[in-house]
Amino acid sequence: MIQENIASHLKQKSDHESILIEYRKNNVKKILLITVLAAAMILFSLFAITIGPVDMTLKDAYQVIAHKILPHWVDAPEVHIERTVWLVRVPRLLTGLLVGFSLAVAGAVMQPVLRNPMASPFTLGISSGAGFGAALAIIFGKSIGNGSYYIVANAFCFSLFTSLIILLLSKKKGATPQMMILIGIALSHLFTAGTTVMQYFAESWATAEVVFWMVGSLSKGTWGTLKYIFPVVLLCVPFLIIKSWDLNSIGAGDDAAKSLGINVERTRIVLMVVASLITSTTICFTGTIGFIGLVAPHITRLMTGGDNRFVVPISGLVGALLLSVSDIAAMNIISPVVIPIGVMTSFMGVPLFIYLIVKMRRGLH
Amino acid sequence: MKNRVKNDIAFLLIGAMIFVLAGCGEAHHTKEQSSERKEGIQVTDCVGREVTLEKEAEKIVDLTMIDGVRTLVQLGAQDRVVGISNQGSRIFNTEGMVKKNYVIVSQAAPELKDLAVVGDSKEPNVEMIISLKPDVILVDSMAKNVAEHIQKQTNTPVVCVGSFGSFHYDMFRMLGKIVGKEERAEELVTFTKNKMKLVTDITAGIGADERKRLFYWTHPFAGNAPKTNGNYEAFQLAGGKNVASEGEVIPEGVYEITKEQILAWDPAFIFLHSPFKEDLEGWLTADSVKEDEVIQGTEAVVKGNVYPIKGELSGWDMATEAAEVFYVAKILYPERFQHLDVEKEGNEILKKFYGIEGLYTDMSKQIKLYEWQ
Repeated sequence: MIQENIASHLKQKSDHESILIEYRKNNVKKILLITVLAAAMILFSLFAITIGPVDMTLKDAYQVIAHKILPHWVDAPEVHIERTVWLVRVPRLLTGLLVGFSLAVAGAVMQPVLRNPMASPFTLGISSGAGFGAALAIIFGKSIGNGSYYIVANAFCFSLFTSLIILLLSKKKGATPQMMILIGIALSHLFTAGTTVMQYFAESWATAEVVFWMVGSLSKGTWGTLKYIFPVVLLCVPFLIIKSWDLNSIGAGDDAAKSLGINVERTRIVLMVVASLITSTTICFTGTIGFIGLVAPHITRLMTGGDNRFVVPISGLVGALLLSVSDIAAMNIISPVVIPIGVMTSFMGVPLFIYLIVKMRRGLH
Repeated sequence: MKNRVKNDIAFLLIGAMIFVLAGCGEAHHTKEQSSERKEGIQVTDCVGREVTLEKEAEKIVDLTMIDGVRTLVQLGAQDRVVGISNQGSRIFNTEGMVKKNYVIVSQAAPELKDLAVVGDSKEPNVEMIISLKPDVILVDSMAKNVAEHIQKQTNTPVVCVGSFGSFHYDMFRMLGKIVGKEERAEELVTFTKNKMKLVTDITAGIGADERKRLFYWTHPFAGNAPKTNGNYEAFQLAGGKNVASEGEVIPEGVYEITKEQILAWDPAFIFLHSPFKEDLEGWLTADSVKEDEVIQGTEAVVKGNVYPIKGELSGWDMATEAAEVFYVAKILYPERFQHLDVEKEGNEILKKFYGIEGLYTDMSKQIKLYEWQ
């Protein structure tokens, strides 16, 4: 009997150790994946700044960056090359990376928080709110901001306003995921209807302008816009990554999370506020870029599994890469025409997504 | 008995003859009717549909935003319009920007503000249209897919009008035929061609390499990416080379580009789409474009060659575009058009089309077009 107990105890210990080894192995794999994706992002960035309609050599493009980092060591490049790389290519690239990263992280957080695989800034009406605000500025000339931020200010305020309505109503009646999603869908329809009515009565140029805004564009990314996007991303993304520990508990169910000492309602609301803030800050500058927030987290889960501590940062990297690669393709496929970035992300992301789903299914069988 | 049989046969024969003659008469009548129908007015509309009208149109319903009404005003047939689209009605009935941008047509035919409103090409108010008993319905060429459907629903011929570009001489001739104003249509076409010849005779001598490269910045809204359009013919007619029409795949309408593309094109001139309303928030002005730090190195900005232009902002209007051919030509080639009086030519063209003096001067002041001293 004693021997049996010892044997059972040893077996348990060995099982536990093998699980631990497997767990550590998986973590190493995921860290490796993060490293590979980060390296791919850096390599792609180095490639992206050499691509564009203005003719220049690789050396010219890198000289601009080197000169900006080490002005006393590296000679200044020609003015038109510097202007092209520093004022157009680099801000556009950084905007793509930051926006892609942010939208993907927001989606990766919203999906477990709302326990719905379809949750994204689009599903919750945040993008529709931004579109409504932009349409109001373009068609009726009514905006909270002025000058360059004429459309941006409205888009930001209305997208944030949408999130606030969702959160306030949910808080009052208990922040259940179902309620949040249903209110989000309802608001999304309301704002879409409002935008459609405005377009219906607008002049053709204004309708076209709203459509151009809604399909999104990274052309709007400048150093001026980055100074608003960057600090918000810098504050919100690390916070969401840290909080992704709680996401695993919430994903297991409210009761399980509560038993671990997590204030589920408060955490849900805080995470939604931060995810909404990061979404509003980015899409108000670029227009509504859909798809990234929905699909990047799913692509990540198909690659790494459901551990949100990894899903959140890896989704960010996948989103950043997906958006930047799509942007380069959008600019160059039928140059000089720029294909709308929202369209391009779908063209690039959907085949990848379907491929991964099919591959995973085969793996399971 | 024999006589009775004879009488019966005669009666039957007479009856048969009457029947046959009556039938022939009816057949003859039908033939006449069908030849009348065939002899009705046949036109090919702007999307290539063959449409037959029984007679010259006395009552017209216009479902286009403005293309239909504007051409009818120019042909002097605005009194035939009995129904107007939602957006068309707003042009005549509001004081907002929409009216300002279409000020020329609303000045020329203010009486159209009281017309029945009949929806638009995609959402027509069919019952209202039927009640107006029109002879023809005009729909936007972009909504050509619904033309047949509206025709069936209303049992009225539907004609598609308008498309990308202003110099649609055939559209003028077609609508002229529909309203029985063929002479007026031909007069406007000949007048415009002759006016254009005044410019093209001079620009024809400019070699392909000498033609000035220009960038047409459409809808320059702060916060949106730059956009352009390769279809505004005034630039080509004025001897310019619109960089937007270069490239292998060029969309029919407005398309987005990058600011780097403007640097790569390095145009000698930039023409900025400008609205009638001066203080339209968010709309870039020539001065703000000159200060754009990204495009500082372009020849256009270095030499200060950034000019406002009306363009196709209020739709494709042959009259205003013809006037702008003179405007663009003098900006691009001041030496060659040294003695050209743009304002005089513009006013003459707009008067010919709209019958009102000084329309170009008004337009120029409102848009803040460049004025020569």
